[in-house]
Amino acid sequence: MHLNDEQIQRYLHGELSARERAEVATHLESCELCTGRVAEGEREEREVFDLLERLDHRPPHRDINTVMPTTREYGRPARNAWIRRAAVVVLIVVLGGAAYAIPGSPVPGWFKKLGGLVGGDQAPVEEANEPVDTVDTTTLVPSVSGIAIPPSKRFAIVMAAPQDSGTVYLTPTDGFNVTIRALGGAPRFTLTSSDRLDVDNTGLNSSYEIEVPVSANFVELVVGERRIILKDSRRFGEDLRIDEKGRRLIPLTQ
Amino acid sequence: MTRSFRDDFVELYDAHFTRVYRYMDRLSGDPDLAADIAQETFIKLYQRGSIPDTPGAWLVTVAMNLFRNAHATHSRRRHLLNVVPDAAMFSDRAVETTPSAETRALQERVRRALDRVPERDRHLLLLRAEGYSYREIAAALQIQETSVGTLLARAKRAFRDNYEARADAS
Repeated sequence: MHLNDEQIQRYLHGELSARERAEVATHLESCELCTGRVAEGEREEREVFDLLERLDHRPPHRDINTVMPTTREYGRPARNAWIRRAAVVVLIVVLGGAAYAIPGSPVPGWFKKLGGLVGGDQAPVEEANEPVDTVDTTTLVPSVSGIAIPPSKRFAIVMAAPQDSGTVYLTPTDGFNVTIRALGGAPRFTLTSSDRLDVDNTGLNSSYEIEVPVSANFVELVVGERRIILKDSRRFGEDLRIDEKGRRLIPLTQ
Repeated sequence: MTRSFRDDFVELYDAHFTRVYRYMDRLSGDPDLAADIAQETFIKLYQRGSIPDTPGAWLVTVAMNLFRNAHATHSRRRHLLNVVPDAAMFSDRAVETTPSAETRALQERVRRALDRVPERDRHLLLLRAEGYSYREIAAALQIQETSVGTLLARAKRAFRDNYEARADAS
């Protein structure tokens, strides 16, 4: 039995397993015909690749900066840019509406205050309705139902405790911010440092939507004693169950 | 220590840019188009934000798609790159800026021989010439990995036959 083309090519290109290679070598020791075909295959390849080199032009100067830092500058103008802008406007309206409607949201208070100013109504607005104006938002984010933060190189979302119920719905995004929205309830978000967001969910059973940029380096979720890697340099939400909408699911129960 | 996407990207760019460029250059015969496609391919990888499982095959597939689109629409973005010679990257046989008539005739003959090879076999030949593994070639061309060697032998034979037929004719 002689070697076939597949075996000869794989032998030439180092694409055989150690065992297969040893078998072919043993065969070649005793078969002049196949030895000649291997030599011919080698010569033919050298000739063909040599000829292909004749087509080469000088490669361009490589400059990674033309590719990496500001990719948008080099891209073609976005197709259907107006559709994207319209989508952004719709998204803002929808999110604004949701922020207004969610229980515990400070947005209605802002509107009340704004309405009072425009309408000349100088009735004082209760301090409790406008916490954003009264705290240092770089360190403490008050009781709002969602937050968006550009993640640091290693970023952790730390939930105070497991819940009796509730789920995190994790989705990747092309944007640049980690976005967390509470679906019901009003947990307290505290940005304790540039790489840590504390979520005080004590006594709550909310679910959360978390969006993590695909460009983020490392983002993890800590629930009590449990650590879940949401994104590292290569993987996104690995080993997590995925629902029919393509969202990764993380139960917040013990 | 965790490697960042940026580190992996730089490493891939260094290892693969010239390969993608040369593959496209040989395929198209148009160095400007090849440079554009190689650049666009890496922009797409950067925009992707993560490294694919088989990066070599991914890059080739993207480059092939861009080449088909460019071919179909004739829309070429040119001169994005400064075509500045980089001596360290020259192939020994890299074509001089003003090739002799003899060199041009030889190039023309090789080009015609390659163009007459069926499309899939042409890709196969050019990818192997760039040192892509059988696994990468199979993934990029969507063929069985177990038949890459057989198809490759056939492609080389077809190319050489075409080349020699041209010699007989001239």
